[in-house]
Amino acid sequence: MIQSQTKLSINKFHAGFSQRFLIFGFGILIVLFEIALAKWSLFFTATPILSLCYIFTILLLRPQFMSVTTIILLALLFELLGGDMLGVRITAFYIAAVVVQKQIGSNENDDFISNWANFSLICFGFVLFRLLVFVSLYLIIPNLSILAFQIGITILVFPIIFVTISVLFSIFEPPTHQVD
Amino acid sequence: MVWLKQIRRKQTNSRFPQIFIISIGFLLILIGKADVTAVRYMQGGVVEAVAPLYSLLTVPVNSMETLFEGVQTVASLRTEAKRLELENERLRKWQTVAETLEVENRQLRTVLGAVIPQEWNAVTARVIVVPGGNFTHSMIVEHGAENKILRGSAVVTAEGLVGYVISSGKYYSRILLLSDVNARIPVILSDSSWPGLAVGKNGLTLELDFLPAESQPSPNETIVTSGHGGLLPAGIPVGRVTSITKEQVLVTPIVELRKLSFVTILSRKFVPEFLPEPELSDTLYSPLTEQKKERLFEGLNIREILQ
Repeated sequence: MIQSQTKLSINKFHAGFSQRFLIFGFGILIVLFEIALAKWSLFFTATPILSLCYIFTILLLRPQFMSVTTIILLALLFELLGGDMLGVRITAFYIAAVVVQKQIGSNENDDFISNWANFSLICFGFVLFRLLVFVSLYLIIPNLSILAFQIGITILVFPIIFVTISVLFSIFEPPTHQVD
Repeated sequence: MVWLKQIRRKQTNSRFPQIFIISIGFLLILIGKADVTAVRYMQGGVVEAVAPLYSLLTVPVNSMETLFEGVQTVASLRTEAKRLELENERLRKWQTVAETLEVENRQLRTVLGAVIPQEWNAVTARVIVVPGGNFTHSMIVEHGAENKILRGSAVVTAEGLVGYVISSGKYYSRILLLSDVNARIPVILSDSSWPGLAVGKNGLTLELDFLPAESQPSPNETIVTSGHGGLLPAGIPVGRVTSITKEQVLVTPIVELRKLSFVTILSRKFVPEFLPEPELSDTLYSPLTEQKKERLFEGLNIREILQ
């Protein structure tokens, strides 16, 4: 009896780990695609923050798959590859994740529009945090119109990512409550 | 009271990891700002490992851009044809002018005895990563130390200066664009030859700092690299003066940084004595030591300046 229970918990652990790993792997692709988008002259220095959309969506739909390690590693990858300020994105992502889990994630009855509005706030706060760190480090204000464009385009892109990931979850996950 | 204490203890326990992670984040910000060598090596390592995969991902983005450009081109084909005819005519005139000037230039060179600089190597490199955020203006290009590209090498296009190499791995290099807040380019005004410093602002323009009070830059005046410091070659166009106020002079870069696909990296064939080997020393940007008596850019050496 105990052996079968242990086996079951090990199987559950393996399944959870592989799902988390898959989410992490897909996150890497999203980060690389986000950096790649900058080659499009329209998005020069203002690519939509796809990684934030991705993390937010996963935290809303399946919070158990998005671990702190995944968030930190994705942010670190972006910082190292994109030459971004080290540590800023990690901190901002983590704070955003904590806010989502504590405040927004608890309201399970929220419809899509409220999720979108919440994401807009998170996105604004994310860019504002990075702006504050940048201003305090260099004592200079960068071009704010570019930042506004980046926030706007990210908010516009969010529904695409949200719907895509929701569809993928509904395809690949078996229904949890089966009627006998 | 006991249950209240337990709740408080629970809250404290659950907050500790969050505070710890946020502290780590701020610690990383400080380390990144301190420009620690280990971080630079780590960045280089990650770029070397991930850049090949990234090259694959740029293919669909390029295709999307080409598709959109194609649709736009078809829509404005007739206007484009007319514009091209006019441009062609204008270019023919310019070609005649350029040929005349080239002959004149050659003649002047022989008169003045000027020598075309031979000490620079040029390597053409494909741009892989361009800045995706407005807080850091840097990009990654193919070719690194294997092609003798060193830290500090100038990066140019046919139009003018793009920036300079800030780190160089074996196969890839990172370039700091001149629009970045950390970029400082010694320049001179092309008409009056007053020296200044072009400083990036993480925007579409640069600010011209340290201009002497008596200098009077004029609108649309070109600024070129002065070659001061010996890191960048002299005479490369940097930008044009677009705004002059009492507080600041703004310059728009000549190179369209948003549309870079290929760049040329200039590196010295021989590193001069006053310039330490960049890869061997981290003191590249430190002041020259007093015991060295080489002449500086204004014909003075450090001893004379100190006196």
